[in-house]
Amino acid sequence: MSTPRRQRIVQRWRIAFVVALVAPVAALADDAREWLEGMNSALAEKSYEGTFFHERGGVSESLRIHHRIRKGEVAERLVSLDGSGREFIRLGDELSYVLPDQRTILIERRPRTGGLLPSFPRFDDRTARFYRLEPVQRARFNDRDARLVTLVPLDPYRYGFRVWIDSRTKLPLKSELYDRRGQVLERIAFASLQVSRDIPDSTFMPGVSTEGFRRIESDRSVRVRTVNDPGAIWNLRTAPRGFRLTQRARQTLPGAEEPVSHLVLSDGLASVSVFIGARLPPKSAKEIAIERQIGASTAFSTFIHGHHVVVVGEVPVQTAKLIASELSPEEPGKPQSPAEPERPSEPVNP
Amino acid sequence: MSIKDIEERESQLSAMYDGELPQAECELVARRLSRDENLRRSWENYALIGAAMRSEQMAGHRLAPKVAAAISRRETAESGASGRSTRSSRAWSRWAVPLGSAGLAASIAVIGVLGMFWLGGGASNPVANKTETATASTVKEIVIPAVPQDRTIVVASASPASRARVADVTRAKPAASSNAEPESYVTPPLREGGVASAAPAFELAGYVGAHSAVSAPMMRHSAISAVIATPQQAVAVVPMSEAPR
Repeated sequence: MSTPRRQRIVQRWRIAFVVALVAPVAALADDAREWLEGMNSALAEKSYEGTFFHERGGVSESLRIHHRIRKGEVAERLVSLDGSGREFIRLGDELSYVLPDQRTILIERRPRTGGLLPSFPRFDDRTARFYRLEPVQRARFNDRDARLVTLVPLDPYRYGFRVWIDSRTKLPLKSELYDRRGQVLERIAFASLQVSRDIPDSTFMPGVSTEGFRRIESDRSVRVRTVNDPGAIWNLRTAPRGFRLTQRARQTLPGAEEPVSHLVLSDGLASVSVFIGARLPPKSAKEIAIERQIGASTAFSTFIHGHHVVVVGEVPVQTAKLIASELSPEEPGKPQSPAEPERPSEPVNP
Repeated sequence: MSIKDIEERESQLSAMYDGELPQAECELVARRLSRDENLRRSWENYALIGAAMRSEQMAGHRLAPKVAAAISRRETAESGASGRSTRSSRAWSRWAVPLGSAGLAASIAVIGVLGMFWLGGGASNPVANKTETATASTVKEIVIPAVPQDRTIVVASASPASRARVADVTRAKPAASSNAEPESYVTPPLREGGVASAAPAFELAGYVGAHSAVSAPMMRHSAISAVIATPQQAVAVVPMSEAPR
């Protein structure tokens, strides 16, 4: 056999060997991604009801959820079953908090034109560069057959995630968010969960009489701006690795007089919202930064160039702070500088 | 001042805030606070941040015993040392320290009040039963008996719509005569750019709701669950119109 021929054969064997090694791993990764995509679709498209426990810091709270998709519109109600009896109700573009303990209802109406709802983070090839997908494990939870999908963060800018996905409905039965050290920060576990064909409108009414409650509402007339609107003048100089600016809008929060700019960043799994308020009078804003944990989410409040800025997202506080520190106002009409190294995606609200 | 000194002072402030500083050191820090504007600002910031992070219903309660006692002693000592006042050019300097102390106590009390609103007053929220759509609320004549223990501090007509600076509060004159310790302390009307601005508006419910609309489906219930969970375990829900700015 000639030398070139032998070399070709050796080369082919090498390729076959590499393929044999890599293919199962790639298949497993695809498998995990398929399960995640299946879960996201189920959460976005199915109507379901259930009771779950929300655990954080050793404290467990039970809540009930009703989630309905009817003609593409979301209706959702979360009710605290312990203590306060607070509720969160989402009916299409309207979000309400019913707070019996404060005899108050907060209502936020999202502008209909070009709202942010249709776009959700999506786990894609790019996202896979920042998380390692562990092989899918077959598991059992609450007497249901499930698949355990584990996402391991590859840097300190994001949390890890484990989710037990029901093999039949693809709904998450249990999920855990954990930090880089593997410490579980938050756990959501369903005690009961069923897919419903339809859920009556009456389910999405508050469980308590709200007569006499204070109503605090936002202004619906605020126009939504798109990512290319030169009127939206705040931008990020750089974004934490893996995050890119995906959406931009202006909206009014309940009880607020002035609309805020709302920037959204995502790495395909975790999202971060940045709210930038109107500029306050000179000397009225002390440079105080405050951070809070809300479940597994971080909220970071600070002042930048006299504007009150709040960053909320399912990320470690250092990521939220980094994002806040990279915010800068731009002159109206000036082309946006990209949030390098992650360029903003194409306009999401054309 | 070296970084080590700064760290040491921060550590002392922290311990004092938590009520863990020995009595003698409390007095030292109180003296420093009464004459050091920067340190006082630090303290105010620290108190606000501490209140926010610990979700205290009313920061003033935690501040009261040792701090108030230390400040009170300081006031008494300084007042005695300054002697009877005359209309000399040094009158202000004699006032400065006791006023600073009283002002500090008052500002702590104000922070307490605002903290209560900022962090949600729950059932005790005096505006909780209003039925109209809120745009601004007014706090009238809230009496805080905690600081100092043997006196009453009155915060008059503190409206979030009209703001005042902590620093302005600390410079206000006491209602009592110059040669006696004030029996009560009344803040001046709150003015533009006030205390509230020291505590950023941080209406978490609204922000969390808005964020939930754009977060991944599997993530969005987390923060909302925390907001509607039992108030003692979760964030307060304060509408923007009532939150200090």
